[in-house]
Amino acid sequence: MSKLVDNDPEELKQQAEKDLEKLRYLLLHQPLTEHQAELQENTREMVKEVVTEAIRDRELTDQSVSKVLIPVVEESMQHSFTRQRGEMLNYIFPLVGDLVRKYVAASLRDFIEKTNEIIEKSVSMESIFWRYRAWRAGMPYATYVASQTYVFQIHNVLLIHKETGALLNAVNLTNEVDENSELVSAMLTAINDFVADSFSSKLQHDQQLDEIKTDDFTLFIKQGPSVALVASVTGSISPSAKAKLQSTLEYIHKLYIKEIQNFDGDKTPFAETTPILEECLLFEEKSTPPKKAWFAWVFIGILAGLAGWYAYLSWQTSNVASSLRESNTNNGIVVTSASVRGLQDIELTLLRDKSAISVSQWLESLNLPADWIQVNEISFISDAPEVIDNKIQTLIKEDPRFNYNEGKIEALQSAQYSDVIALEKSLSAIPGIDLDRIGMPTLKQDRLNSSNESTAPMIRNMIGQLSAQLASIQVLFDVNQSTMHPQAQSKLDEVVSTFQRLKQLAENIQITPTLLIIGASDTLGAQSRNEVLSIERASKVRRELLRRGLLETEVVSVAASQIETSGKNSNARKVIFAALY
Amino acid sequence: MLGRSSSPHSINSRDNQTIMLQKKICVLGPTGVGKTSLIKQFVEGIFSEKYLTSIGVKIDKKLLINGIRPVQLMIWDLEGIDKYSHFNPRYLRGASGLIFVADKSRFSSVSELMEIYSLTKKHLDVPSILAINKDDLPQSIKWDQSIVDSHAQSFDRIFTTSAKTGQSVEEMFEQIGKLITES
Repeated sequence: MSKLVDNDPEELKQQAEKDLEKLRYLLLHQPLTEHQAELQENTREMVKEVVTEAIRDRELTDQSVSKVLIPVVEESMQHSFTRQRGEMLNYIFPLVGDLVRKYVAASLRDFIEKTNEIIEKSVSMESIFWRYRAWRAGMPYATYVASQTYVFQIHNVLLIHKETGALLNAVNLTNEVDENSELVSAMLTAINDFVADSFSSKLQHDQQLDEIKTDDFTLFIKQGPSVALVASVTGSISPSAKAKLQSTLEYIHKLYIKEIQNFDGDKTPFAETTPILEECLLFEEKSTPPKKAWFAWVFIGILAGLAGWYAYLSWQTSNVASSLRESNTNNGIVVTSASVRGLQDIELTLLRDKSAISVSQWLESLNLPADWIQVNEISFISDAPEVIDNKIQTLIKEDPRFNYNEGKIEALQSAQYSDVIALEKSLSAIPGIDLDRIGMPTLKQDRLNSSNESTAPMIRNMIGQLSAQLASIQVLFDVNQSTMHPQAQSKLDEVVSTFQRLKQLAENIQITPTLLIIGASDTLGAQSRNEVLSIERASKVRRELLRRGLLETEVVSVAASQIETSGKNSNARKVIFAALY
Repeated sequence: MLGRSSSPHSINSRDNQTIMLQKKICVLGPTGVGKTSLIKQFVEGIFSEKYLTSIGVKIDKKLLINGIRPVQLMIWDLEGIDKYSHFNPRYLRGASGLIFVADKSRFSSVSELMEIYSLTKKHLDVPSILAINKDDLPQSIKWDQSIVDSHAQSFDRIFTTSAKTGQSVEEMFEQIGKLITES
């Protein structure tokens, strides 16, 4: 329209004429289509200017943009993941680490919260009280918990075709399909019809069910022109939830108007309403002060404590077993195996001399717990000094004429020489005993003289035995050699110890014995050489014996020269011994 | 705190690709002709018959799988209509088929039924079947087959049934299933 400049009636009239002419032209002439073409050309530019704002405004109004876009975006993503898998993986790869970390953290947090919840619901005083209240109210515990936990909760949402009563779609919290929901849907429609029929004639407009209450739940019915949305609710539903039900109903009406109008019993198109209906499964929790999950932490603490205690006991048991295996202290007890059977349970197998200390004493000395250890004991004879010492002590304890102190035997006043001999005999029976180390007690001359007359022949007899023992010892040599074999050393030791004991005995009967060393050779070679060899062999042995402590006056060496025996295998290359007394 | 429950379950998921129709049919007739007994022969319902006397209708369902496509029949058993009992046309809304039931041992039930038929047809024009029930009882001495035959053209099919013996009951419901899915 043209702008009016002033109020001149003539001018106004002319202007109106022009405007009317213009309008006539626009309405009655073809050029309108030209404008349409012009409009279409500019459409893109015009929409471009406002499209962002328009989308935002519409989304704020009824969230319909996101509802329409979600399936498109889902399909696009599915397409991308199927066709461009590699590229998509490259895009999301850097995010995976963070995602996993966040997921693990969230899972752990969720685990602790759930554990706490389970413990609380199972064992807390509150849960016991709730169970009692639920029992008194005659309702399932879960229902009572829900009533105490939530201000309200929507359990089922039904979308009902009003004309036929057909259930178009339904969602619920559980994973069970309710076979009867279709009948309930039809019956609800029938009841609604009954109410409408019963009361509408008295009132101006059709009466419709809005709410049905039972002891346990309330059915909220949102009536639309062609479909109804029914929500089963426990607790007191909030106005915002009611508004959500209403807006959902309106949205379904708007989006599925054609499918609703053409409904012929095929419910398939309404399967797409599932996500929309799921948004109606709302709940509101009662506001409670934030709780610390101390039940869960205590529970986890107890678990950790038990695990720690188990590890400690396991470590301790293993340590005891190791100590047992390493405890062979040469005391008459030899550990053969120590195996762990369980916590504080060890099977120990050992060898033990009956004169060794008892196993319990031994364990006590090692500071090991006897009640953990199952002992399998096998007898054996030990030559351990401690065991031999025990055996000597046991033997001497039974004989009041001797005393054993610090490894030495002492003869008391009442001891006779025959007692010493008898003791020596008994001690010799102890395996592994070294009588030279211990030393037999010596009786003084006056006590010896005061011995009864039977002592001297006994001593002589003993001397005879020792003399025979000396005669049985031989030191062998190789052909044409005067060098002793290495094994000769132990024989020389034996000679010395035997002669010393003989000398000791001989002192008791006032005899001075002499050790005769006789060197000999075989008949191989020249006789003169053999004579030299036998002298050298006897002299070498003598020197060795003197070196071992025998006195020069009591050792005499002689050469027997060559002894007539046969060839290289002859056993005549030797030194033999004899005691002269 | 307002929240939305996770992991809900839908009865009508996309995975269920079996395309099944759900159809509403109404069973009508005078009082005492055996409508409820006929339905009881065919289905096992969950609702008590008290609903019949309280709100005037009881609903059962039955799945028919022998036709071109499976049909879930929602069978609305309407309370017997007589001079004491009010006819509620709202219950007929959305019905895809009708079964009218008369009593062979009571000839007056035929004329009463035809009145109901006329009332019904004012509100709804869908496939309908006439069931002459109680065939196990002696036929009424007043029975005039020519009158019944004269009404036959009003119905798509006529069955002589017995709720007691089960005679033709299943065939009748199968037939209404076919009629409403093929129409």
